[in-house]
Amino acid sequence: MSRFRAGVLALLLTCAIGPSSATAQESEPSAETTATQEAEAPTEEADDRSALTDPEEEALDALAAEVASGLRCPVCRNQSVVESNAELSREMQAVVRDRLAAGETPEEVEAYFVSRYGEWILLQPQARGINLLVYGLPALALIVGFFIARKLLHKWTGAADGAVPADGSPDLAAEDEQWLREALRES
Amino acid sequence: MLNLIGSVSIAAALLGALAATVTGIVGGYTRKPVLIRAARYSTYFVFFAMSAAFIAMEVALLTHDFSVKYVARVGSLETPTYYTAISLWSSLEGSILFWGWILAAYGALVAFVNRKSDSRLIPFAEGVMGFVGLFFYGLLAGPANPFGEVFPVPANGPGPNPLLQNHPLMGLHPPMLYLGYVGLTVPFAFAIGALLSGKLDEEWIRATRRWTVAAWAFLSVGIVGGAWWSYEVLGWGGYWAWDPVENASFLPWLTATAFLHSVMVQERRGMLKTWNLSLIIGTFLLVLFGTFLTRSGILDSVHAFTEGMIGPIFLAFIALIMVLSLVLIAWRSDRLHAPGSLDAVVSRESMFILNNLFFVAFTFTVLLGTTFPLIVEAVNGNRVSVGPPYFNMVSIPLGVLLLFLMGIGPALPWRRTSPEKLKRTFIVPSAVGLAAGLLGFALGTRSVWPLVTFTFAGFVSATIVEEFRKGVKARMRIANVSAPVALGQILTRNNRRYGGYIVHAGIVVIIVALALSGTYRFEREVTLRQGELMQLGDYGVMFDELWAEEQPQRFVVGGTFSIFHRGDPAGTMQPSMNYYPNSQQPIGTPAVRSTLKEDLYLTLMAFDEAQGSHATVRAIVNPAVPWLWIGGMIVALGAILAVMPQRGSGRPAVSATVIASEEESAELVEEPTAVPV
Ligand code: HEM
Repeated sequence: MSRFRAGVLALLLTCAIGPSSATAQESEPSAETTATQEAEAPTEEADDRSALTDPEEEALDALAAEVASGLRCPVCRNQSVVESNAELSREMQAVVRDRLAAGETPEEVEAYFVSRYGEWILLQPQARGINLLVYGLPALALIVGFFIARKLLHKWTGAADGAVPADGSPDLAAEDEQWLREALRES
Repeated sequence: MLNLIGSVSIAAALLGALAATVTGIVGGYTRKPVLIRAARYSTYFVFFAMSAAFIAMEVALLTHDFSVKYVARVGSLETPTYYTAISLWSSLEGSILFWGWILAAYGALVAFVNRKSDSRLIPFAEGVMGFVGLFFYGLLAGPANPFGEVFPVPANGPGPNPLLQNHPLMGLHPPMLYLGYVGLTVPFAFAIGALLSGKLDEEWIRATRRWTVAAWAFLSVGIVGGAWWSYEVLGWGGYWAWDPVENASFLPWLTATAFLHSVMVQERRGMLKTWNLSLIIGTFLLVLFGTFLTRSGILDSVHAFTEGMIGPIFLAFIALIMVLSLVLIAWRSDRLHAPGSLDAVVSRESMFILNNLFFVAFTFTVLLGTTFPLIVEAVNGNRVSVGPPYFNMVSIPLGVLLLFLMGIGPALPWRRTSPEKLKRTFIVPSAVGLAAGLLGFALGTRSVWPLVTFTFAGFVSATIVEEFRKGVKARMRIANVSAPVALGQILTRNNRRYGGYIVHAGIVVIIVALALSGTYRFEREVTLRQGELMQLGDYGVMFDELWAEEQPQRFVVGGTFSIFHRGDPAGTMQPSMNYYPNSQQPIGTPAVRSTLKEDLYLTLMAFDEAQGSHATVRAIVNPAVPWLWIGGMIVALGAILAVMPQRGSGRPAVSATVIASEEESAELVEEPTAVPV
């Protein structure tokens, strides 16, 4: 299980797999850049690393992650760019971060990706045109349903009025009383 | 040889299903004992035939008989035996075979359990299950035939989809899901049987309640198991992606849950007849729709869908069932009309109606979101995505509303209540709920939805505890026993009711775990050199080394990481990447370190191939995730309790109601003493 063997086998394998080897190889640069960033902090003081990171950078990271979580990974099934570890997603995440760093708003970053990939890239449809239906219909259904239920409840409680004993005591219908007696006898 | 056995068995099942359909329905109308018996034996026969087909396929898989089409598609000599055995459900034809076999098994079980019953519904139900079988066995005989001959016989095959051979849970999750899906055919068959026979009282509901709860429990376990599987396999640190396939299992679950509740209104008050029939028919349609969605390829693209034959056939069958059901309901509408009557709006009945409203609105929303991309594409050719941001936005409020109702509904008595009693019932739970919300706030939660969730969860938990306390107390008084004995007695005598409450408790646990893990998850992705340490929350993660292992069916590259918890060594974790010959992308296997408080979740993202000197790892701290699985187990336990035979159930039809009213009697016994709370 030597590291060397791991490396050789992995390389053989990536070559054997063919096109997808691109994934592994292209991941080098970005891995490298992260590595150099990380290397700036001395290893021994790793515990204090979080104290060393710039709060502004962290805020940018968080915002980038938020924006990227609304973008669809173009090569995976139903994953967002943040979740996916596909090469393309990682590049997109870097682009998001760079654009935000350059002063673009999240909306502008989204618009950029829409212009490149189409609206499909957004995991939540924009609220315009036919898309309004996906937002409006559930609310409408709930409201209509609520009024129907209310109407029915009113109708049904109205229908029962005559049957309610005047004293309003919690009554049991005759059949309930019979069950009750049976149950009590059993115990 | 196996090809032949399989094909003949399926043809036999098809004939048996035809016989069951005809004799069941004709026998149901004519009440001729010969026909009724014929329907029963045909149903048994279908089961034997499908079992033969099932066994033939398993033998073919396990002996690597590549002359069988399905084996040539999903088998390989290198796949471990366990995954070979379960590769039955790794692809289209095999999973339909599995579906069909479970359907046949449910049919035979229904026929067997009711063999002495002279209910008019039984032959009709057997006939309807035979009719559903006709469709599935027909698929197997034609367009989805797994037993086709392959010639020349290949020496080896590609093996199952790598994602499906990467975790042992794959042996559990699909069977549970299928047992749930197909189990819901039973109440559907009885509902159609009730419509056909005109016997539209509560009998079909009583006869199927335990089937429904059991199927519902399987479906629940299947869904939670699926979440667990995707958490352990997919490596993105989440458990629910609102993927259409996941939604496909969630949709019938929602309507089945609504149905479990609304039938109680009909059992008690004889109301909501049409509604209950429609709910279970809708549930069955969603089951078919879910099978269709996951199996037709429509999700990948509309074009893949129309090229295959399976999709359109499925759609036609769904449409057929829908039309036939509507016609039946319209035909029987005169007998379905039951004048509704309620004593008060503040009652359990009306809470069930609200419960149904929210469950159905939830179903509608998830269905709309899932199919919306298809709708838009059909309307104007645009491609849009509807993903987690949308579903979370709509489902959190609905889920929270349902949670709240779950506290109110069970605590309200049937029929009506008085303001004083209301106050007495809800004052303690409200206080507990508020305390839970405040506790959340004090611990630093500032987002609205989690706070609301904690408050309602506290409220619901308190009502559940209160229900148990009341039951135990009343039982102690009636039977003059000690508290633990009384608890045991209410659990066994009144298992339906308390099973339901335990299910609710499990749901509370799941919802709180969802809120916590959704809100407090944090993560970090770093490239580490050997010996380098990174810090995440309480955890330190140090990269030790890379390793590689060649296994027969795949090649694994993994990293060993030393874990420190608050500075103390806490073992090692080994996330890995698996390379399968039939997969373009490596399939990651994350490493998870679980405690009751939180999970530490590591995914290997990339590594240095030349020397193994550095590795990129994503580390996630996922709070409360184990509680999702624990909650799922509580749900399962509660459901098992609820389906246990009622004690002393010599009188199957009334026993449920009698025993349910026993607790009512307990409440009554307690009533005059006006226990101060
Ligand atoms: C996700 C939410 C829910 C789930 C999974 C769930 C599940 C269940 C299950 C499995 C049962 C047992 C049914 C049986 O044994 O036949 C049950 C019973 C019950 N549920 Fe729910 N439920 C949920 C929400 C609600 C809500 C919102 C209400 C409010 C009206 C409610 C009220 C009840 C009542 C009153 C019972 C009956 C207990 C008895 O037999 O007396 N549930 N529930």
